[in-house]
Amino acid sequence: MVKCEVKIGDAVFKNFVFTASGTFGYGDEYEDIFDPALLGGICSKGLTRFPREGNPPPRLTETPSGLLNSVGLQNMGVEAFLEKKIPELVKKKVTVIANIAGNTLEEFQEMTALCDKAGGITAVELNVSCPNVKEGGMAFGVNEEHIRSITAACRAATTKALIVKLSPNVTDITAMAGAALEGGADALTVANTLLGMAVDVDKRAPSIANVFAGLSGPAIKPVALRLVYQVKKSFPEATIMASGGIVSPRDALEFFMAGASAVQIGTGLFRDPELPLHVLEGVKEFCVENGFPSVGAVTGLAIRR
Amino acid sequence: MAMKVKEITIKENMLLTDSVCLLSFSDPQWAAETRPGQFFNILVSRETDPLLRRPISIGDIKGGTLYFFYKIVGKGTEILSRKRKGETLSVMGPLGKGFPADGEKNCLIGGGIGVAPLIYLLRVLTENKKKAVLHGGFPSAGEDYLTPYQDNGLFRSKENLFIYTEDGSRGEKGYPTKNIEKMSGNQRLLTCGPLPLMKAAEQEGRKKEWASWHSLEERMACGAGACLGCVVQTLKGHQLVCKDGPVFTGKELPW
Repeated sequence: MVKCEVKIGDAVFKNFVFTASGTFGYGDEYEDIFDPALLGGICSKGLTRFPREGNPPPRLTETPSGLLNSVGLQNMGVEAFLEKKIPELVKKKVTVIANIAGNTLEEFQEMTALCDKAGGITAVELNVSCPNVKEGGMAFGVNEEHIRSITAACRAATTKALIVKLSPNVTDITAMAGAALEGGADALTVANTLLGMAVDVDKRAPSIANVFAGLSGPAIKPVALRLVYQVKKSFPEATIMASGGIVSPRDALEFFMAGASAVQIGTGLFRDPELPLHVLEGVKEFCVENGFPSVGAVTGLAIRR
Repeated sequence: MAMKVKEITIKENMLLTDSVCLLSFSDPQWAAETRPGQFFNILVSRETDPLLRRPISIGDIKGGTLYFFYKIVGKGTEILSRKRKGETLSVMGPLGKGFPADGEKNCLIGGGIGVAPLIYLLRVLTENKKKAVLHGGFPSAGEDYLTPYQDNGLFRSKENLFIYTEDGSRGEKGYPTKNIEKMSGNQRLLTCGPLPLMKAAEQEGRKKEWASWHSLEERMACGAGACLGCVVQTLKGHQLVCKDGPVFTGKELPW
């Protein structure tokens, strides 16, 4: 038996596979395909204080081994999620991480407090890295001071596990990681999408209505791996949830060896909706075959000290 | 009617015109469950480029076999067109909400590859003993894939099928909307095709106060309502083509 549990703050998740925010809806969209209660947890669609319509279409463009999206945090708002979606998810025994995105520090804190009070939420993931909204979003995630103060404010508002989802669009991610850890984060998600764009040559115009968009998928895996490695090397005690282009168990193993304790599956779901279960089984199998008693024993193996 | 992911074995995959292919596979369960206007997400490559599945509407269903018409427009459909009988594909579906198939009198207007979902709609309506006529338009005879597909007993020419070409090389010259004006009675208008065609059909239909349904298209990733990528603007705000659609009523669209 391979030990699969992952501890973040005081929360213990049953295994190391999660779905990434924005790729798994509110948790019930894929239940025809597999039972989301089998996962370590699901990260909700990015929630804001009030409902958001999001960006105009077109919002998507496929790129070589990648996907550009600019959804712009379309969501029902945190309160509607807590009232309408959480009771069903609780009934189905799904472990939920609420991904929240505030326009201001106060909004972040207020939403964290709402999630703290609500039953059925195991952890809060602070989205300080959305590249697709004008206000807040990535602007917070590229500034150490903002990350530190937002994390500290949310820390004060909850005893639940607190995760900060970092932006890859920074010069030095270790500075941002350090700020989040100082602010009291229990774990870091490394990382959100890379800012990019595509041009429609026939239309002589950007392919996406919002011009810039977040790049995900296998195309960004090498960048995400490097970021995970840098953060883990600088902060050996940090718990990292890795996210960026995982489409196979071996991809996940690369992230574990680079320093991750858990993985988030996102864009890979769109080609293989059963991918989270494949990754879970594949990584466990690897541990059994190679004599690792736990996934934790694989974490950081590739880091040169 | 749960969506599923299945490994299917290709029964046939052949060109009907220079650029439109017909793909078929047998799946009695899906054949029984799938409604006209719904679609399936097909994984064309085990590699990661192209990364996403291709959404393709159900074109026809008979004898437990599903038929898909698709146009080779890019890398994904080009790869799909090279698949041969006996090869397997990962297919996800059925997805989306389809056309209503319970109206007494139905006018089906399709253009180009948009004619495809209307073929199965015509079959279901006919089987339900409803009146239905399909008006299908193509740029020219060379792009008409209905004629090569016709020998399947569904179409009773000059009774329930009219073909139009822009250059007059087959059927009537002009767009498939040109005869709506002359049509009588209270009909349902059901369309799929380029936006200007659906808009023209809607305008004609409104003059007659017909209820209408239109199948829309938008770039899509998950197909399941999870990624919120494929929205269209409606009078109720952003709606998802994959889950709220692809078929929307004429009343809810902003035109």
